[in-house]
Parts: sequence; structure tokens; C-alpha cells
Amino acid sequence: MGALEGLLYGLSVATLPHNLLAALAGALAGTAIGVLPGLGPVAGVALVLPLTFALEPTTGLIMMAGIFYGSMYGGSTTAILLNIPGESASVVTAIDGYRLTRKGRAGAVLAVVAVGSFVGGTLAVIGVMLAAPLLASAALLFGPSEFLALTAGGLIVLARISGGSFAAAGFACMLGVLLGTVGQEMVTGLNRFTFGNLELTEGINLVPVVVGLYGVAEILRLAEAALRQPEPVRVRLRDLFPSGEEWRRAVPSWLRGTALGFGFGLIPGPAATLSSFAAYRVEQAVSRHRAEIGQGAIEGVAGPEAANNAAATSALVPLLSLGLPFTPIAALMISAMMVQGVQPGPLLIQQHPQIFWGLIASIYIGNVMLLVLNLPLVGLWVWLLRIPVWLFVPLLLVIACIGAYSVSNSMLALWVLLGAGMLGYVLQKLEIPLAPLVVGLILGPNIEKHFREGMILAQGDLLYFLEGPISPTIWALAVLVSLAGLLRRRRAQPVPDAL
Amino acid sequence: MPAGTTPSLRQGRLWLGMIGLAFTAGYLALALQLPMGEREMPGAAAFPLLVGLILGALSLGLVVEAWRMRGSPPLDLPSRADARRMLAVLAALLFYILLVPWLGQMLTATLLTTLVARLLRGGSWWPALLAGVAVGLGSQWLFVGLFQVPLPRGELLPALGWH
Repeated sequence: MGALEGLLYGLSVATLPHNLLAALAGALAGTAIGVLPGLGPVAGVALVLPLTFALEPTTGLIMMAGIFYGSMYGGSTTAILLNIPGESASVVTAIDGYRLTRKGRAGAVLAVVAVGSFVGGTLAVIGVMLAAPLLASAALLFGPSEFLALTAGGLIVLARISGGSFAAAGFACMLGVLLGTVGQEMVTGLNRFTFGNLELTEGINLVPVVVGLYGVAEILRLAEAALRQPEPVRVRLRDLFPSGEEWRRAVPSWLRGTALGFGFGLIPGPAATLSSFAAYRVEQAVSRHRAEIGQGAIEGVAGPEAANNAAATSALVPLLSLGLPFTPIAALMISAMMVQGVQPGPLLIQQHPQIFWGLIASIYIGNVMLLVLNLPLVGLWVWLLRIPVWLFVPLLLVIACIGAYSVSNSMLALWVLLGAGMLGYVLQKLEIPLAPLVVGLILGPNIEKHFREGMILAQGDLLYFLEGPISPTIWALAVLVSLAGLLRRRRAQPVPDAL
Repeated sequence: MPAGTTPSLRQGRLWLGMIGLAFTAGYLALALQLPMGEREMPGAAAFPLLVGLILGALSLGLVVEAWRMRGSPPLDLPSRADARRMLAVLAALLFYILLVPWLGQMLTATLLTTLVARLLRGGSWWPALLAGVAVGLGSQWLFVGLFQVPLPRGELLPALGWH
């Protein structure tokens, strides 16, 4: 099936009433999640994951994707109106966005962000549509050696570029891999580190870990600051029209941000966050109005927002073509597919074309929905910020418990939720990134599988893992990225206060 | 926390690295009890041993890095009142986990919401109780009624004849 033919087929799947409803519900819930402090995109997707099990796989994934990109949109609203980024990818948006709000341009900035996110998201979908099938065809020729290089090399790159030192991110990453070794071992069926607990034989489920690390830890931080609720500014519908000059200045920044974001999304790591920072740097370097950036310039908002949405979308390429998740959201989507009995990997496009093309087409549709709904509904989103903290902290806590429990109907999941919440709180205080832990947990069992398969195939010859052109290239790239990171740290210049 | 007594990021990372080393030692001791297998057919212990060794090295890396850290900023720790509130929410979560097998999801959610809402809001119990009842009944209707998600029913309500 060619790209155009595939897209038409995908549109026929995505426009089925129940799939349209799922995209709409996901986009709206995602925007609310992004707007409300305490729930970022990752925790938001994790919380609704159990609900998607009651839906068909395609419908469930469409809903999850809707929540994801909806929360990317919503996260920037609090960054612009309150100088509080709803998620890490919106940190740079707050710099110029909030300054523009104080100059009375809040409505115009929200409109530029919404259109920029639409441009970034939809252009990146075209890239996904073209790149993913090609990569999937190539991946059909991969063996354990190539997959080990991709998974383990990907984790090394992730640890290198996740922020903080290599030891800190690597520690989180290996802690995740270690947790992945708990449970019944896949070759001989032996129970490892289960201490006789039957529930542990199924391993540590991803969902309570993610909800705990991101959701409960954030709820604890909210409880700490419960009495300090900010007052959002009022935005009227008639304020939502940027001036002609603002449109003209935003367009080149959207396009630069989209190209940059698409590239970042293909690399293992926190692509949305990294790409928004990189896009901000690019605007500081090349924009004709670079002197105004940091003081309240539309380019400082347009570029990063297009970039983070493009990156969030292109991160679907390794997920859909290789079955490899390099972000916590992608890990949750893989988890959902596996619960539904869908095996992610290079054969997904051939065996489940309705999932692959339906998901891609739904992103087009979802982006249009967000553009049409988000701007007129901005008053509603701002109103959500007025919900008192004393009300939504316990509400989120109850939803977190229900989400964690219902994945496996196990009390163990609730204890894992509590443990992961405390761990996430401590790791955040110690400035240790959380994403490598989540990705390590989901990729760890894959790494072990490919390693053991390779050892059996090669009869114990470790050099097998360096055979062929692909594996050595991936390993070399992983080593290069690690070394480049070390050199850069040595030469590091102080980061401006604004960032 | 009074200035001067706040632990630094350096101290926090040192502790984390040392806890990581102790944890890794325990993990490796357990991994060594698993079958090693052969080089041609690695056993269940092979991968955990590799993971443990790398995690140990990274924990040591954290310790060394923290040891060499200069001008470390203080940890962003809450004040005593803020910490009490955070710990109370954590305790409420713990009580939820302990009580839900007996009281079931609906009653435990009501109780948790009421307690946490009263704790954060202060003042009268009535708004907190209203919020608790709304969350308890609402979550039951949405998740169990609408989405058919199986949640703990507990022993109390069935014992009272509620099905």
C-alpha cells in the first residue's frame, strides 16, 4: 500500500463515528490535562490507558494519541497565561509568551501557538507517513544483532541527552532496566526476584510506575504548594486575532521549528523538550527580530511550539515502524497494543494496516479538531485553572489509584503506585530525569531477549553483535553522541537565565 | 527549613549513590543464585548480573560526581508546614491502599477525598464531605457503570446486602 493509498484507507478508518468520537474525547481530555497543573501528558495518557482496553485497539490508540497531542496544546496555555509551563516542552514558550501576555497580547499568542502546533503536527504527520513504511520494510531484514544495537544504543543515547549528567540519567535508565528483570523469565520460565509473590511473576507493570512517577509525585508537589494558587488573566474571543505583522513573523518560525522538531523526534530522548529549546536557540540565531527574543517576541513562541508538536508526532516513526518506544508516551502506546494482543514491530503495517494508517489519519483530523475547538474554548480552559487545588488533588489521587489498579486488577499495582510516587518525588528533588527510567523498564526485557537470542544464534560469539553494516554504525553513533556530550560539557558555557 | 540546615544537592546525590550501591549489592547477591547457563545458552542470571554491574558502576559514578561537586545549590525542600501537608496526602494514599480491599472503591474514594480536601482547604467539613461523596459516586458511575472497569467491591457493602 502506497502512502497516498494508505492515507485514504486511514481516513476511511479514522472517520468512522466511534473513532471520530475517540479523537474528539482524547483531544478535549488531553487539552484539559495539559492545562491543569499536576497532570502532564505522560501521567494523563497513563491514567486513561485502562479505559482504552474496553475499546477496539485502533479506537483506543486514537484516543491515546488525541490525549497526547491535546495535552501538548494545553500545556502551553498555562505557560503563556501564568508563566507556569504545563509540561517541560512548554518551558521556553513561557519566556516570551508570558512577556507578551503582560503586554496585553495573550489572545494573539494563544492563536499563534494553536496554529503553530497545527502546522508542526500536520507537516510532521506527512513525514511519518513517508518514513515509517520505508523503515519498517528495512527492519524486516533486522536480526537480534541490529535490534540489540537499536534498543541498547538507543538507551545510551537517551541517557546522554536526557538532561543532567550521564551518571544521573544512566542511573535512572538502569534502574528501569533492573525493574524489568522482575518476574517470569522468558526463555526458561524461571521466576526472578519475585520472593514467592504470585502477582510479581507477571513482572512490574508499566502503568502504575508511570502514574506514580509522573502523577503521584506531581500531586505531592501540588499538595506542598496547595495554598499558592495563581490567578489567570481573562482572555476574550475577540482578542484571539494576531495582527498582520504577527502572522508574517510567525510563519518562518513555524517552518523552521517544524523541520527541527521532526528531526529531533527520530532520536531517542525527550524529543519534544529538546526540540523546543533547540528551536528557541535557532530563533535567537537567525530571526530578523532576534534582539527582541527574550523580551516578548512572537518568534520565541512560534518556533518552539511548532517544534515540540512536530517532534511529538515524528516520535511515532520508531514506534510504528520498529516497535521501539523511546519516549514514555510511546512506551505506554506499546503497552496498550500488547494488552490488546497487537504485536508492535515492523510487521504492524502489513498485519494491522487499520491501526497504522488509522492512527496517522486520526492525527490529521485531531489537529484540525484542536485548532477549531481550542481557540473558541480558550475561556473554558482558563476557567479550569480556577478549580481549587483542594478539590482536584484528591480527585487526581482517586483517578491515579483507579488507573493503576484496573490495568491488572491487582493490589500489587497500588503498592507499586505508592512506591513509584515516592521515588518520583525524590528523583525530581535530586534533578534526576524520569523518562530514562520508564523507557528502560519497557526496553529492558527487549534488550535481554535480543541479547540471548543473539548469543544462541552465534553460539556464544560476542563479535556477532558487531557484524554487518547496521549494528556497528548504530553503536558508533551511540558512542559518538556520548563522547560529544562529554566534550560539550567540558566546554559548556553558562546557560542564560531566561532558559 | 531554616537556612544553613537545608541539605545540598551534593549531599542528596551522595546519599542516592550510596543507596544505589547497597541496593545493587543485594540485587547481585540474588542474581547470583539464579542459573548462569553456558556462553552458548546464557541462563536466567546472565542479564541481571550485567544490569547489576552497570547499575553499580553508575551508582559509584553518582557518588564520585557528587563528591567532586563544588558550590552545590540547596535542595528544593518544603517548609515544615508544606511538608506536613505533603506527608498527609501520602498517608491518605497509604490508607486508601490498606482500606480499599475492605471498604471497596466507592467508600474509600469518598473517605480519601473528604480527608484530603478538608486537609488542604481547612474550615468547615461540609464542602469536603460534599466533594468526597461526589467523587465517590461519580467515579463509581463513570468507571464501573459506564466503562465497565472492574474495581474492588470490598467486603463491607456486600456484607450489608449491597450488590
